[in-house]
Parts: sequence; C-alpha cells; structure tokens
Amino acid sequence: MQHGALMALAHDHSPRVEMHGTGLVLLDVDGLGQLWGSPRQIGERLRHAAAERQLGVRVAIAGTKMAALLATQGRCGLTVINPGDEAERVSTFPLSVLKQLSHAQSSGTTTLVRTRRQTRSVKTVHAAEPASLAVSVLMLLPVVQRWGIKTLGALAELPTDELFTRLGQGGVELQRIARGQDSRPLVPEAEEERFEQTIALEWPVEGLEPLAFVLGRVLDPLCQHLDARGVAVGMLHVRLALVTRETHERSLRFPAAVNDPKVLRALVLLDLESHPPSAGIDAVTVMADPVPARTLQFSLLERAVPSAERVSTLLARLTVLMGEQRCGSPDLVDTHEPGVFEMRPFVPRSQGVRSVGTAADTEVLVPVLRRFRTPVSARVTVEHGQPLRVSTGRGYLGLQGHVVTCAGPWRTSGQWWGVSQSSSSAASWDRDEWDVALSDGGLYRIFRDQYSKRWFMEGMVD
Amino acid sequence: MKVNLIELESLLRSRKLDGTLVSKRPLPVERLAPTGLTRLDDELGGGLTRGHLSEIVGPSSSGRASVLCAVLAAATRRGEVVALIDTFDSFDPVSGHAAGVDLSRLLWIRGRQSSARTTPPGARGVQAIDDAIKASGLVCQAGQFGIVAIDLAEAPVMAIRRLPFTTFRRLALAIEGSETVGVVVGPTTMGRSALGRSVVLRASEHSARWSGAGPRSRVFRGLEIDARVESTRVPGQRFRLHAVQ
Repeated sequence: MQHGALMALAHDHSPRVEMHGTGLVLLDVDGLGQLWGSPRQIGERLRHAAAERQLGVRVAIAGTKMAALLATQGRCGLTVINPGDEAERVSTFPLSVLKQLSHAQSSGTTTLVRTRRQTRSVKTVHAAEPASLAVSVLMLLPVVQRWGIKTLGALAELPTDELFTRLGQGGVELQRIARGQDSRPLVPEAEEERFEQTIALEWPVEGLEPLAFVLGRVLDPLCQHLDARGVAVGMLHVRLALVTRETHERSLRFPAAVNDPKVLRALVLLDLESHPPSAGIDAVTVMADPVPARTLQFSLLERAVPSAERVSTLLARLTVLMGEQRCGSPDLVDTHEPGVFEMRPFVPRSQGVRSVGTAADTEVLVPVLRRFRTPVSARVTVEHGQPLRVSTGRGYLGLQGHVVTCAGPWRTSGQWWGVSQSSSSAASWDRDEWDVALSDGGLYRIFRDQYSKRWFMEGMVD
Repeated sequence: MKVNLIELESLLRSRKLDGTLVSKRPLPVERLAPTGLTRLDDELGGGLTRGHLSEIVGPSSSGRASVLCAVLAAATRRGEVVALIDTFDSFDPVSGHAAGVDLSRLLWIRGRQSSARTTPPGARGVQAIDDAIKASGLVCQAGQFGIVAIDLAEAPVMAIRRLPFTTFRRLALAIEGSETVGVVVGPTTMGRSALGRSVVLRASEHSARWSGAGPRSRVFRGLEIDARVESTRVPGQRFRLHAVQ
C-alpha cells in the first residue's frame, strides 16, 4: 500500500487525520453525518473511494480510537461500533490482537481506521501519552496469558484494584485498552501543503509580453488555492526552465501579504524586466510561501493610505526605473557620523503616532541641509586659520566665491579607535566643519578631512 | 449677471469640472493642505490646494528645502503618507527629521547617483530629470498620497526649460480631482495648475542669521526667508519666514 495514497484518501474525507505507522490512519469523522449519512454509509463511502484508488483497506468506525484500532485488527471489511458498545464489541477479540496492533503501528499494514468521537469528554485525558501501544504494557501480556486470560473481554472484567496491586499502572493501562477506552484524544497532523503551479509550454516563449499570459494561467489557480486555505503570498519563487536547459530563478519578497493574481503578475513581470532570462522559456513554475492573509478593517475616521498591493506594484515599478535600494523610507542610525542613514521598505500605516520632531510641533521653520551624497572636492583659501575663498571644479556649477561670514571649526571624529590614524578609512572620520556664507548668497557646509588634508563641500543650507 | 456666474460655478463644481475654474471664493477646508506655517498659510488662503500642482521656487539657499520639509512635516502630522522624488539624491534624513517629517510615512525616491556634480553643466541631470518626471507620474497614478513632491532644485534652468510644456500639465492632470497635493521645487517657475500656488523665495547675502562676534564663537542660527505667494488672480505680496536652527 502506498503511504501517500492512504494519506491523500484520508485528507480527502476529513481535515483531522492522525497517522499510526505507515499503514494505519485515524480519521475524525465526527460531524460528517449530515454530509454523508449514517456511520455505515460513511464507511461504505470510504471503502468505495479506497477501491477506486486500488487500495485494499479495513474500515472500522467507533466511538473511541482504541476500539476502532482493535476492530481493524480483529475483523475484516467494514466494522461499525455504536457509541457505548466498544467494550462489548472488542471483548471477543483474542489478546493477540494487541500484538498485531502494535506491529501495525510500528511498521505498516494494509489497514485504514476511522474513529468517531462518542462524547467530547472522551478525548480530554492523558494527552501527553504516546500514540502507539507502550512496550511496557505489551510486556505484561505473557503474564496475563499465564493467568489463563485469552480474550480482551476476560481482561476487561478483572478487578482494577487487584490488577493494579499485581501489575502496577501498566496493568490498569492494559485493561483500559482491553475495554476499548482512549488514554488521549486524537491529535491531527498538520498537512504540509505546497502551493505550486507549473505549466510546460508547447513552444518556447521569448519576451515578456507572451509570458504575461502564461503567468496568468499559473498565478490564477495558485491564488485560488491560497484563497481557499485562507492564506496569501509572502514570498513568491519563480522558476523558468530555459531552452538551454538552464534554470532562471527569481524570488520576490513582499512587504505585505498579496493574493491578487494581477498584482503578482505585474510584480513578476517588472522583476523579470530588470532580470530577464537569457533564453527562451520552456516551462514556468511558481511557488508561494504562504503567510496569513491580511484582514483589514477600514475606518471612517482614519485617513486612507495606499493599499499594500498598490504600494508593492509601485515600488516594483520605481525599482525598475530608479534601481535597487533607491526607493523606501529613510531611517536614522544611532551614530554621530555625518550623512548616515538606512533605507527601509516603505510600508504605509493607516494611522500613526504624531511625529517626534519638536520644531514641527511648534510650527517653527527649520533650516534644512541639502546634502551632497558624495562630498564635492573644493579648493579653499585659508588665512589666519579661517576660510577666505571657496571654489569647486567645473562639476558643481563651477561654484566659487568669497567667504562673507563663517562659523567654525567644529571638530568631529569617530570610529578612530578601529583603525590607525595614519590612514583614512570609510568607517572612521575626523574633520573640521565650517558653515560659510559665500558672496553668491549661498550658505554651505564645508569640512577639512584630517586624514587626507583636503577640503570638501558637504552640503548647502536651503 | 453675477447670479448667473455663481450658478455656473456651482454647476461646474457639482459636476467636478472646476479643475480650471479660478475664483476668489475661498476653497473649503477639506480641499486645502495647510503647511503648518501660520504666516505662509495666511498668504496661501489656508494651505496648498489638493488636487492641484503648486511650486516652490527660488535660488540656492533661499529656503526651498526648508519650506518643502515644513509642508511634508505638516502632512505626516495629519497622518498622511507623502512621497518625495529626490531627483539628485540630496535629501538629508537627519535634517528632515529635525524639521518634523515622520520618516516612516515618507516614500523617498532617490535619483540615481548621478554624475551631476562631475559632468559638464550641459549634460548634467537630463536623464535624472527624465527619471524623476516618470517616477512622479507613477506615484501620482498610484494615488492616496497626501503630498507628492518633486525636487528639481538642483537642476540647471536650461535643462528644465528644455522639458516639453506638457510635462507638468500631465502631472497636474494625474492628480486632478484627488486628495493629493503636487509640489514642484525648482530654481525657476515651471508650471502649476489653475488653483495651484507658486511660493517664490528670494535669497540675499544677509538672509543667514548668525550669533556671536568672532568666527570661533559665531554660530549659524537660521535663515530669514523672503517669500511671495503667486496665484492666478490673487496678487502676492512679500513677507518673511524665519527658519531657526
């Protein structure tokens, strides 16, 4: 019997499935009566579905897991045990059934088991105990057999306190099994579901425009699958099999969960526009890493912000236009190093806390520095320790002028402890800064790098 | 005649065809985006007009970036998200934060690390300006941004004048009827929509404010900004804004 086929059959009929070995499956069919009828009808339906898949199975439906498990070992075909009759129905089974069950749980037999919860209180005890029969319990079987006990019913009728006196807790557990009682509830296994779609093309596709239609054919069912499971795409992997037998792979991470095939298609196309495949495409595979879908509650009192899907598409388009790491939200870094910041993904919030800037709160205009991201090399004439004239090369507006007013120097340095002071380093800085007003009306910040002994223009107050 | 004119304006407004309608009637508050600067808001009639393209123009060190950051800060304080298309990648996040801009609400689109400061002036920034115009079009089309600002302050005047006259008209159309305020910052007037405003700034040798007598004890204290608001019908008059560090 194929383990995968058995699992698929089980998951097709119940979301709560517990595996016991490779050939023994427990299903929770509680609540399926309204859908498929009586327990016997449910059992017949299961056997019919198994036969269609060429699986030879035994089916047992009982109020407890243990009764159902024992019934599959003791009887062939379909067995239905009504709630409350578990002990009576398994009482005729020989003790060897327990060994068979243990063997089935440890290796694998051609058995399919169903369970139906009798009452909700049944599954509340001993949840931490192992699913299979304990070895220590099975080791007690020869002792019981030496007493002349041959059936589960005879074992079930023994006085419990006497059994505990002679065999300890293991004896009580053995008797509970013989009565068809559960020591722990059913623990369903989480199904590892893959969200993947593949399409093999009859003719190779070249260019993004025809690829857009192909992507639509794989992304639409993928999003439907995700939607049915209540999840969305957190990261999308695109694998293109090329005619050169190479594989072109791209992975797109989204700042927010996306489950719109049109948005996903646009994002994939924009990414492929920046990173095109080197040859024609034979097959397209898309895989999604699922994340919980977003649930939004809009408010009339909050200002509308762009949706996550719209922002993702916008950022993808802007990235194509401006390049990687050129779009986002700036974030300050806890350092005194001039001009240092971090770029973070832009994630708009619908309602945020007020800005912490004190100046803006008091409606005071603050002079802002327009920073030259790469400081402009400058020639500075110094007299009596003060800059007298500033000029740059022909690059930056051919700037030159006399210093009208200046303030400084403001010495700043950092990270010098990490390198020797004789050599400059990108991580360390040591500079004298000046604020200078030039004769052209401009107000600039210049500095002298103490490592290179050169002057630079850092920015303009504007 | 006057009654007919009012009726006609009301009819156009009701059908949302008032994009080019110029009137001395004050706009409703919800169609204005205050800058957060009382003096400037008074001159603007309450703030910059939503759904229209305005501009902040002036020479270097005239206070363009300071006024722009004030506009962005006021918008983020209202809970809006804003976008800044930084053509020559010159925005300083530290200064922006000090000016009150909530950086987490700012979409900062940095122009390519252009060779604007190392290439001859003729070729400087043409590609960067084209990219910035395209980026601003994408942001305007996305919608829901409170402010979309395009910073062309460092662009050469010649490069701006080479732009087709429809460039800014297209941007104005992209935000027309929306809640977005379009702001273009540049060295010279470029183009605004009918209800947009031009905040014209002027620089001078004496605009900087210092404290202290000697150079070693002197400290830069701020800017005194000479400004004027221009609009289609309302004549502007000069006033001063004080930027204090």
